[in-house]
Amino acid sequence: MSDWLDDLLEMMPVDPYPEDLAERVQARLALVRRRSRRTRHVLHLVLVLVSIVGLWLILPRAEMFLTSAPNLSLGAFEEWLSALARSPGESLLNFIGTIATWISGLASALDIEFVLGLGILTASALYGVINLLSNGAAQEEVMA
Amino acid sequence: MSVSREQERDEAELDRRARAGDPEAFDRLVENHTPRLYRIVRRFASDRGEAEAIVQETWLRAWRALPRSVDDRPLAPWLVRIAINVARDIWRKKRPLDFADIGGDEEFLEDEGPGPEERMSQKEALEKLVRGVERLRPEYRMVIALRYEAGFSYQEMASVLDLPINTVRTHLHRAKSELRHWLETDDV
Repeated sequence: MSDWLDDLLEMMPVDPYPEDLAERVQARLALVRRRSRRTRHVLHLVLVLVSIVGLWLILPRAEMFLTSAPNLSLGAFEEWLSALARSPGESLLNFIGTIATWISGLASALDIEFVLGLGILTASALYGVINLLSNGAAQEEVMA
Repeated sequence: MSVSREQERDEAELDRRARAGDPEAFDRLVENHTPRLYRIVRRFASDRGEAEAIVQETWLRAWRALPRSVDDRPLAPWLVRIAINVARDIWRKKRPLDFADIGGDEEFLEDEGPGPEERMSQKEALEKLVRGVERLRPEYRMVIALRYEAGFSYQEMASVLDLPINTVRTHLHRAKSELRHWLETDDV
């Protein structure tokens, strides 16, 4: 039930609204947005540099990685199939031996620099994809 | 379509674009909502400077949180809720004695008889009431602001203040008791 105090409280005067308050808020928001854009640009630049370092670490070792891979030509595959038909046991043993040699070759190529480079590149790629997806979704919403 | 329906539609569109990260839409929301937000905040803030600081910080927090906020939540109560959290953060950093308080938790006897308007003019009563509200403890000023400035229901107040509805009722009851006592005391 409303009484005299409710009536007075509803009529209570308030200080005049500062006309430039909304403008000041907008100016502060603009500053915050500029700062966050600048931070994003710096972060992108750092990621590009880090990715270059990652590539620089991986590329010299990629050659060793590829040369240690088994021969995957069509001719070699046909030859292996005919050997498999002739003597399956021996062919399978040879195949397992080839795989083992390849894995041991890979293990020797996987030194700390290679793993570090791979990690850096993976992290950069993941960040790029996440950023692209979130920006795309926001843009879609604005344009819809 | 009536003007108010069109305004509502425009507001909803602005809200949707702002949530999607459109800065221009957000700036329009700032223009539209700041005057009312200021009135509510000014009622519970200690002074004009504090009210302006709370409003500015509210919009900054809203800008950061809006993309993650729930889509169908009305903007105005959400802003008030942020403003209240900002105010609480500011007050927490200040010393408790910074707040004048015209009374403790003691109950004042309610006089349902004629009001103080018989002893003073309405203008004087309103001026005294404003001073009385300014001297209330912060949580009481908040319920007064939400009830009489924002026009919120008890349910809305409880939701915005994150308090049980009965606590909100108690705060409002005590705030009004203290204000009655303040208005009826001649020598203050």
